[in-house]
Amino acid sequence: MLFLACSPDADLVPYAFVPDTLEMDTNTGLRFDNSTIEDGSMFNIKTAKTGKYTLEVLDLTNSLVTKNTFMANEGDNVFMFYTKAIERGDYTFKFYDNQKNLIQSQKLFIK
Amino acid sequence: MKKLLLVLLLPLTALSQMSGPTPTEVSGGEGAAGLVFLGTTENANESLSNVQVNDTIILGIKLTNWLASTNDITYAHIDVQYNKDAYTWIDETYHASTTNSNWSGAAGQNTTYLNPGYRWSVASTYEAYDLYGQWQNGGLLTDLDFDLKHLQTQITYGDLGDLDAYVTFRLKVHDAGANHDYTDNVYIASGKLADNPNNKTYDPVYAYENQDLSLEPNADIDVAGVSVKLEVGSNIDITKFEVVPLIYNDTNNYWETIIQNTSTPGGFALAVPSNGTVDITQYLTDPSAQYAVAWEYDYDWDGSGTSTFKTLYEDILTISDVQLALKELAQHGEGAINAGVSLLNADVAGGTSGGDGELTSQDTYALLAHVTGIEELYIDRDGDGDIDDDDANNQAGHFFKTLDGTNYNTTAAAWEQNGIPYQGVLVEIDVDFTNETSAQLFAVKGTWKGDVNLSHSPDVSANIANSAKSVRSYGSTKKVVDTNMSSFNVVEDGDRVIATILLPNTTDLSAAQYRLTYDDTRLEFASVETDSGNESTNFAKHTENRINVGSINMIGGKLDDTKYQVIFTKKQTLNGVAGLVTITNTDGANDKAERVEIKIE
Repeated sequence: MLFLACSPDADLVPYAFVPDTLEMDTNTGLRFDNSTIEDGSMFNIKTAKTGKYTLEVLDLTNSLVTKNTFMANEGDNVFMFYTKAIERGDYTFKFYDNQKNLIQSQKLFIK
Repeated sequence: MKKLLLVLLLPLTALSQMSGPTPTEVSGGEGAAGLVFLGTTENANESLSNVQVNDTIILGIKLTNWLASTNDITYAHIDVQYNKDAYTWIDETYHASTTNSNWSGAAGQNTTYLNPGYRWSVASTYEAYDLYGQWQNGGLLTDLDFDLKHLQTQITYGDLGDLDAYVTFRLKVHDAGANHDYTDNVYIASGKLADNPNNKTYDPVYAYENQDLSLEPNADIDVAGVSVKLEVGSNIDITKFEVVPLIYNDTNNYWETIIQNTSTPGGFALAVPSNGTVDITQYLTDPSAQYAVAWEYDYDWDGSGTSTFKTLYEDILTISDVQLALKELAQHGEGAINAGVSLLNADVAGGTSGGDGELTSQDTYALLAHVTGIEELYIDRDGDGDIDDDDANNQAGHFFKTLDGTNYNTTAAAWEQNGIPYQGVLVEIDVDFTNETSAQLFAVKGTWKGDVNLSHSPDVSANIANSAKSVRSYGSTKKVVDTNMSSFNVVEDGDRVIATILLPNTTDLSAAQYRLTYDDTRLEFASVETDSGNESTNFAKHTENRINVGSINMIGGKLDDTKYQVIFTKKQTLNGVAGLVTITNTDGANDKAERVEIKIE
């Protein structure tokens, strides 16, 4: 007889659907589904352990435009990026852990 | 501003025209001869309305053959009379080839002969535009003001009606005097068309489409080049300005647009390139007239609601402007403000339309009230009883001032009297029409009421620079005396989204301001909580999707370390909060009213 059941551990790591465009081979990282970000674009933050992480967005003059601290689970974490409060242009996205260690930096165009 | 725009829309009276019979009147014709304008010797595309005294115009006679299916026009003579006070006949050119032309043994030929001192006496029994009827029945009348030219061509082959003009002629244009009547000063009086090989005389032949020219020429203007130039702060997008050439109507006492374009909203305005210079030479046609230009910033000509001045003005008038004005008021004479234009910009209250020529506590209160949102400086531009975004976005002209370079760089004679000469949107230009050899440039510097620290205005000369240096908007190069770090972070908190700003005062800050922009389709602004010292005046101003928060110590002290929390509620379920709240500007001043950059990390 085959029993299908959720293990208790599975409840600690919620299932996150990760589209192909957001999958990463690395253990950690930041990936958007397109090099041009539109309102509602998806991005994936992949972490090695559950905890607080920070995403910074800086403009071409390296001025901080916005910063967002959030909880992320181990593995893939798919979020949406909202652009209505940001002028179009080139921006640098920086992904930090809670020790302020830079995990990844990526330059993208916000449409 | 509203009144100005109303007069701007009034069109300039037309000065020239050609005319002739209507299509209905010539419907029974067999042929026609019409006057055509072919520009000037200098510009084949010149418009008739731009013709000036001393220009040489080119006219032609275009034939129309309404019997083309059966006959060719092989012979034409058309009589043209012209007023010698208004024109000098220079020469004529025939355009049909007469080479090898042979009709009844006679060579093809062109013939011109002159009837000096005559004009046509119209036969009243025929329409004046019935050229053949007039030729058969009219005659010449002595009039020393006129000459009459007989212009004749005959060919064997082909149709003169196929030519753009069988003859063209050049006329030198004169100023015939103030009382001269320019009506019909060039006039097709009579003529004959024939198909000679087939023994056919056209009848009737009409003067169509145009029989006459009534041209009152513009004055002879040969200025080398007249340009207007605007200089604004380098952080202003000058291409958002347009310039409107204007001429003063002495009869009705108003300025009116020179460019007549009623089909396109704002069609009477010229684009301003990035160097701010616009050549307006072609619009100057009367040396006795008064000219001006109007510099309009991002004006919403078609009422589509796309103007953006309000957003710009949030960057122009900020807390450091207030602090500088307060400092000057508190210690006038000691030089917090050296530039007269700064005092001019600080003077925003006390008069019927804003300033009263003095910097007083009324002004500093008004400046502070605007920044904090208690009472903004915007006016009810459209007169609908309220001051809304439509008013604010379309009233750049209410805040815009222009000064020449000398006045812009002057020091104030005294702190209480800042009456340096300035203009607003409308800038009069005094063109030297006798100067035909060198270019004339009318340059002004543009500044803004409320821009006390000249952050969005041209730099003043170094020797009068204010103690608070000019700065540029967030994200661009700044000229500041110090930098104070600050932090910003956005977090999700249940149904709320909270943006937190921490400001440790490391540079003797006495005023600080942040502008946040948020996604108002997904968030609703709820409140601002400020944790600051007791001596600070804190403010939070919410406009559309922007929030200005800040603090100022107005009694000469410094800000304590300060924490601002801007709280939003979610309008919908969100997947993260990335990008929902951004910082779009910061501003700060120290206790000397010097500008301090507040940098975010």
